[in-house]
Amino acid sequence: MKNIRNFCIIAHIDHGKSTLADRLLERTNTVSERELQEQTLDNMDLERERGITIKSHAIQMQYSKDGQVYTLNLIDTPGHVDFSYEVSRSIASCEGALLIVDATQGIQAQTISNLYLAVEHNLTIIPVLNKMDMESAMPDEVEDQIIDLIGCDRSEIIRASGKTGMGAEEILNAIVERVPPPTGDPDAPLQALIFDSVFNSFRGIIAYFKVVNGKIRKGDKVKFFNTGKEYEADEIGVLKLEMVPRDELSTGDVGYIISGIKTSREVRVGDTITHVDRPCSKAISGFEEVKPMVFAGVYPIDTDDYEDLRAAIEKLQLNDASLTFQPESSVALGFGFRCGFLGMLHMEIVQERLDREFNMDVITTVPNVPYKVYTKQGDVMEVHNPSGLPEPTVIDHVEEPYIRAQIITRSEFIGPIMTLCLGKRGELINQHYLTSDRVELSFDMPLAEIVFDFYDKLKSISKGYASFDYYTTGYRTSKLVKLDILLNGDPVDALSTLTYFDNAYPLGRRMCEKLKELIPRQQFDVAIQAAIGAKIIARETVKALRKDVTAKCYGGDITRKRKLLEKQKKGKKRMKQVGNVEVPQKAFINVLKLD
Amino acid sequence: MAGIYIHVPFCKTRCHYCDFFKSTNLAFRKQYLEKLLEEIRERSDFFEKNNTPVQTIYFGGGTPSLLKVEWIEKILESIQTNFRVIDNVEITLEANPDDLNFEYLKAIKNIGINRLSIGVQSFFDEDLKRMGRRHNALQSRSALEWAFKAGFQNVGIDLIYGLPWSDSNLFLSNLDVLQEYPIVHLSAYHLTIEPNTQFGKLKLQKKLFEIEDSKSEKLFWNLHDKVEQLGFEHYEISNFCKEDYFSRHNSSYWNNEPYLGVGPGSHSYDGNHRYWIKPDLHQYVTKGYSEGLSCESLTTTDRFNEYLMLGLRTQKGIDIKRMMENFEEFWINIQPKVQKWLDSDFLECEDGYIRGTRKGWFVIDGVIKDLFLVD
Repeated sequence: MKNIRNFCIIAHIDHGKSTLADRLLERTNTVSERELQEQTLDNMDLERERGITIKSHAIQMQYSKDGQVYTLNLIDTPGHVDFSYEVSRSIASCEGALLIVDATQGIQAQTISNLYLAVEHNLTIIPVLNKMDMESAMPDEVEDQIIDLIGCDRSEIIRASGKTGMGAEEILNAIVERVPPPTGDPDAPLQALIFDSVFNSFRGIIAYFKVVNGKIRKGDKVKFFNTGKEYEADEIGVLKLEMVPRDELSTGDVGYIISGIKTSREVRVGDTITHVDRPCSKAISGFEEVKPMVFAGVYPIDTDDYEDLRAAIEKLQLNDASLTFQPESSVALGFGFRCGFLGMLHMEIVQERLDREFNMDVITTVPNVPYKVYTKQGDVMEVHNPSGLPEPTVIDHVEEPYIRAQIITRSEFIGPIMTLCLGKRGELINQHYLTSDRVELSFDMPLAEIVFDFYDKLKSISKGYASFDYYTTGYRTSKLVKLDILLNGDPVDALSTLTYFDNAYPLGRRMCEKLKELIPRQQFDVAIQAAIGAKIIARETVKALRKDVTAKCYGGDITRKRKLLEKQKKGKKRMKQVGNVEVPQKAFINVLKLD
Repeated sequence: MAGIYIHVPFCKTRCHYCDFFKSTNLAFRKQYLEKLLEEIRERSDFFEKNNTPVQTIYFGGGTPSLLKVEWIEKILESIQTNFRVIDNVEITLEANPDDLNFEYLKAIKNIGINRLSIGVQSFFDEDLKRMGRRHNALQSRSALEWAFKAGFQNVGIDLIYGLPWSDSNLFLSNLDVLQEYPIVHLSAYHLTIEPNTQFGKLKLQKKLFEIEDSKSEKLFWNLHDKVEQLGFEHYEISNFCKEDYFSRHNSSYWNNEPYLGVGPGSHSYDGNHRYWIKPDLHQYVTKGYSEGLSCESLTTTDRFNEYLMLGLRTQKGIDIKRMMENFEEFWINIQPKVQKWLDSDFLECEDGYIRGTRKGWFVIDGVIKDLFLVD
């Protein structure tokens, strides 16, 4: 146990975490160069393209130093705000963390919030300045930021480059020397913390864990503490590039378990594995039920694909337990599902995976957060979609979820960001200068305000120099209305939104304007109206098409022209007919991309 | 009824709006002619299945008036030798005003050309210049004078409207020429800015724009009203004629009749298949037509859609009886949609024909699309 080092990496997206991790794997001969695809740790195509790690992984390295062989377990962490709970469980499995900061960019919001998590869990922090090979690197300035932030000594900061391999040896050394070995009692009842799981189509769910106390052996009867379910440990082992089966894993080890679990929902990140025969007295603390915070309707573009969509979502859920869904139907879009996501990025990822892995074209409706509706009878109900909102007469009051948002930016952007956040009903909680020109702002804000057009706006007003992180903080009373959109007088249920009362007028107006851009001109005028109840609050008109005819159609044009019109007609099939109005799919998706 | 189309893929210069297949390299003309004659010989059995004589011959392009008279004569002789041709066959030549002089016109009249389609485009030099035409208005007038003097009776002109820099009155004043000369046919095309043209480039650079569609629509109906007043019939979206002087050749396209196209880039139709020759002049003159020949057979749905599309572009409209004879099931299938367009006054039904109305004709592509059957 004294030769084990468990560590994770804390880094902002694009700060070079994966490339640097590759260098560590190379140095320790865990992966030969031939095997080393760029960024080995991110093995989903999507992750590689986006440069973010969606699901965390773990990998074991062997490192020799002063005649001793050390086992280094790198526990990778997902790098996005939507997955902060998963990050916290990964951190809880480690004793040390590499804090990787891009020497050209400095510290970002996400780095800070994850760093706080690591500090909270008493992890030893090894600061690393990455991308030192870049000309634009400003090592002294960024080192100042790091020193300010964690109060370390300048000499503790390792200068590195994932690209050239600079600093890799020093990092490995520091992990061995500075990170303490895991503690725990090998003779105590088994307590293993699940920090991640993946779905494998041949082997079912594979759970990744760290043994906190006790030992686990192949064939043991085990119990998952929070779900209460019991399994046999069919196979346990450690994670190299491949899974390597072992007969026993002891306190401090990081490994995997395969036990015939079929669905991801049985394996909860943060749950505790213990023995059926000699259970631990209590679970490892910090377990939380992950709850989706953003809901949206997901509909097949072709209504015939409903069952295929169900199958696809079920498959996705196998390795993404945080995705929830239930059937929903819409007059405009037919049958689909109300899906729950951790956040906006999670929603985008699911949408993209449906497209790439299942070839499913879907329409995602305007997302909303879960609201708590208190009726006059004294009941509480959670509302996940606009049609679920009861009549105004029965509602006593409504509560909406709030978040604590952390934004790190350059001081010159404080003004516009302040305006943005206050405009989004944010309350400034704290303003803290990290260095003379970098500032951390904290706001309490309704989650609903960030589910559309917040990220994009933040990005554009800060010219990309703002990083953002959030966590949910509970519910507060809100004034909520349902905003409907009508096309030629017919309400389009899939375009209804739940919104804060004061936002309804501007939102209605902007949605009408946006739809005017998105709905193509047709043979007749199309009236676009926004309404609250029976009251029309905004209107736009898409003028009828006045010329739609080809000038020439002679011998050589006929087939080409027919094919062109047929193609356009097939394109139209991808439009949704709402009353007599044809609405393109992208209108449902893009209506809230307001600027 | 059958027609032969001869594609003459040569132009002296490229007009700024034109994306037709042509070459400005005139050097290949002689070789082209040889291969063309070969093609006419080899495809002489094209209409055998249809068992129908050739009623129309059409020299299109490109610029057919770049062909020497004796070459045109050779082509016509070859057609006479290899095909059954009716006595009063319609033979059209598309011509550029600046290629036409009295001698040439007399000569082509003598060898049998009996219909002229002159690419006037506009009677305003400013328009011609901006369109990249190589002739001027005076040359157009001279060409018309000479054509009638040479004894042509069936003379038509082409005009382009909707030019972004022009205005409605200016364009309509072009039509005065219809009173000055005994012109019997007018093709008036709305400008389309095609991607691979000089205009297309300017559009990409945001230096040129199509006019607003409400203006286009107004122009179209002003044109319609004015030309009708002058005694013309508006028999297809872009075509007008005096009484019986409709283009028999072009009408055969719209009436679903067979036609043979020869020359690179030409298309043929035998009732069930469409053939086309690759628009590659070099290949054509080195290897002949067969190397670039492709064929596609039409399904019943294809033919139904084409019939719908072509019919609704004509003033007469779709012949319901013919629809029922050829495509009964399909036609019945789309009746609810037809009714919807009738009810909303985009289509009307009269004397057994369904046609576009004043509200519907200029947006007929949308109606056609809606009525199409696709899988």
